Amino acid sequence: MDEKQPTRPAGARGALLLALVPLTMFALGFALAPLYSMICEAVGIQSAAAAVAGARELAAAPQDRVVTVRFDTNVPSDLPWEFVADAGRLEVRPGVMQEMKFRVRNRSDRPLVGRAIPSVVPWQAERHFLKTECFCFRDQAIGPGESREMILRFQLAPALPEEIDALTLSYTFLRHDTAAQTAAADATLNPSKE
Amino acid sequence: MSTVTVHDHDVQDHHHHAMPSGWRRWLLSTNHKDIGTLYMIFALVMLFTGGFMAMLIRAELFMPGIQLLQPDLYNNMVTNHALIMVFGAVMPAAAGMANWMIPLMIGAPDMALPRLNNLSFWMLAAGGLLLICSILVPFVPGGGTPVNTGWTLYPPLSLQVGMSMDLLIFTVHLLGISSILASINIIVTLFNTRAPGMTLMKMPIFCWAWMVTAFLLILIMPALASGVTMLLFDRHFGTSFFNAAGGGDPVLFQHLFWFFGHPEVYVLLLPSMGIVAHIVPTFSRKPLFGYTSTVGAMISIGAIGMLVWAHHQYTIGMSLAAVTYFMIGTILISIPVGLMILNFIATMWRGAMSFETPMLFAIAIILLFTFAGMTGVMLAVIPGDIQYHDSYFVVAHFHYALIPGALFGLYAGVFYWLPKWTGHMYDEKLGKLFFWLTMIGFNLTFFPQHFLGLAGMPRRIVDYNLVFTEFNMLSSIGAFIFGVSQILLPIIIIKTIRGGQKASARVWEASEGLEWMLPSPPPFHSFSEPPVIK
Repeated sequence: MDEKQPTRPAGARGALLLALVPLTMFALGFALAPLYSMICEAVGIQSAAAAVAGARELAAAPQDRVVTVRFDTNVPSDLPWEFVADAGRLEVRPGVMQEMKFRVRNRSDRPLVGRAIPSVVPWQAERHFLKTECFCFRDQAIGPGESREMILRFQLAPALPEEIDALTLSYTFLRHDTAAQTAAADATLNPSKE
Repeated sequence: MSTVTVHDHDVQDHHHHAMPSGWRRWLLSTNHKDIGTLYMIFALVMLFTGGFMAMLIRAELFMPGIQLLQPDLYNNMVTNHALIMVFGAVMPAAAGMANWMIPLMIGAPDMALPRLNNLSFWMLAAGGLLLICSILVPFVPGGGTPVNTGWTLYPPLSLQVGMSMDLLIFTVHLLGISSILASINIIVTLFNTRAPGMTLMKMPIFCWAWMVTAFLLILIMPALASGVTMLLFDRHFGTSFFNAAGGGDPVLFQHLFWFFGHPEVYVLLLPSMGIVAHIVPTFSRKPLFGYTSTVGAMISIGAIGMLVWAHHQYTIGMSLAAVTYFMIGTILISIPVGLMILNFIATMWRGAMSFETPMLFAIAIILLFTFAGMTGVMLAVIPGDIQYHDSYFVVAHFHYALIPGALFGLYAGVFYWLPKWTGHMYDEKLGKLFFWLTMIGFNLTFFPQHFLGLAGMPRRIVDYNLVFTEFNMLSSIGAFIFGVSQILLPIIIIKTIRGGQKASARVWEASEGLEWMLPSPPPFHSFSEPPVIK
């Protein structure tokens, strides 16, 4: 083998070609910054970005079809409250903001704490029932004989499946007064009682 | 292996220029054996540096409370222990063995691109120097906080660290470029310089392991490089790749990091498995069972391993569909890994086995790495992982995977090839003593950590609850045994270099392959004319 003859080492071309791989991968890393959320959205991998997209749906154009929304109110026997909706049903166009008033009256002679739990039937409609204001999942402390008006603001998402032309929103007020909470409710209600 | 003809003058080789001497021999070296030696010396130094940090960590964790290290420094030790062991010890040692052995195994005179080879090593050395600067700079007044993020370098914490993070980012760049260049060199060598008659499917299995490893490296290192470059931009140039305040997404960094980080596990593992696949046949006196399926298993491990990175991120809030995909993909990897392990066991089956130090290590690897595979499947399962995430269970799992899977494989390789490299047999008694002390120390260190993790001890925290005291003490005692026993390794190596029983060309009774046709140690220039494989 003659050392002095300058020869290109075997595989120099291959090495240059291979060098393209890391260069491409490096560029791809940067390209991921914008591509990352685009890919997730395109292939439907739900993530934080998809949740934002869901919120955007609220601003979508109202639709012409009309969906019947029924309101159902329940109070179990251990909570002596009256709980009614202003109307039993509402004709709603998806994409239009709606409002419904509910009234609660404490029929007992002492302050009580309750908490409303909602449920939507059929369940397929649940994720298209978008509440922007709701009194549910929060402790409601109501004094003896006191009555209170509660507001629900909602709209049906335009993505609500076509075959759903009626749905029911049911609220159940559950008693939620631990001893401490009753005391707390007393404390907050006492000033208003006098 | 087929019949091989080695001409005598190839071995003696009088045609080449005289061997360079002094510092020029090492600094300007283009000889694959010298560069391989440099790589391994570098790795050994780094192994003891990273090991010293592990000793500090275990000393701190010997008792609850803060005794030795302040929290920031503790987390810095955790971070640098990982980085040094991964990038400084295991990868360079494996690259060193590739340099030494691949040309000998395929009958090539040297690596295909010797000057590139020199550049790869010295960039690595420069990277190591920068890494040490990164550790030291917080001790200088005005040096800022140390890197306390863990080796994953997650933002936003990594955006807030002082200038030691910038030094670390440049370290990662240098190490990345170094290992990409080394990988390109290895691929080109394997494709272009094999001896005539050696087809790809006749290539020794260690070469195949490195082929897969090298392809993984050129695909994944740039992902890490781009991730840390974006970190650098976010830190200094006002971009918001990961800065949520400016519309960035810190989770993107996690994806980039683990796209590199998960295949990196196989980068560490595969060369060692390649070594085991040489040792088990030699000491079982049988050819490797299922050569083709072992090659296939290695390729599938690499391929599937590229697609399952997000199992390190189950808790970031991915959708059920995404985590399910990553779970199934991760569990799928256990099939090729299991196949490889079964091939090793089948090779031993009815073999005339003997238990020299390399074989002891190989058997320990098969046993302990399989154990890590089982905890790995536990961690791959989403509901389980949510519980084990960031606990000592994970620490125990990956130390069981990487110490046997990578480090012990390299130890086995050192003992297996040391007679070939030096021309002398190592001290078998010391070798066995080293093996048993290492085994006792290693298992005593990491086995109790499974229980700690299941009981809820979080990782990367300087202090712990009193209830974890006993297992931590046990683990620390194990670590000290493990750590101190490693001093035997350089003692054995130096003793072997200086003298000992003369090694024959074949060294072992049943070793097969071109590398064993050359005398021990092989001449400075070997296979100047390729051997003919019939």
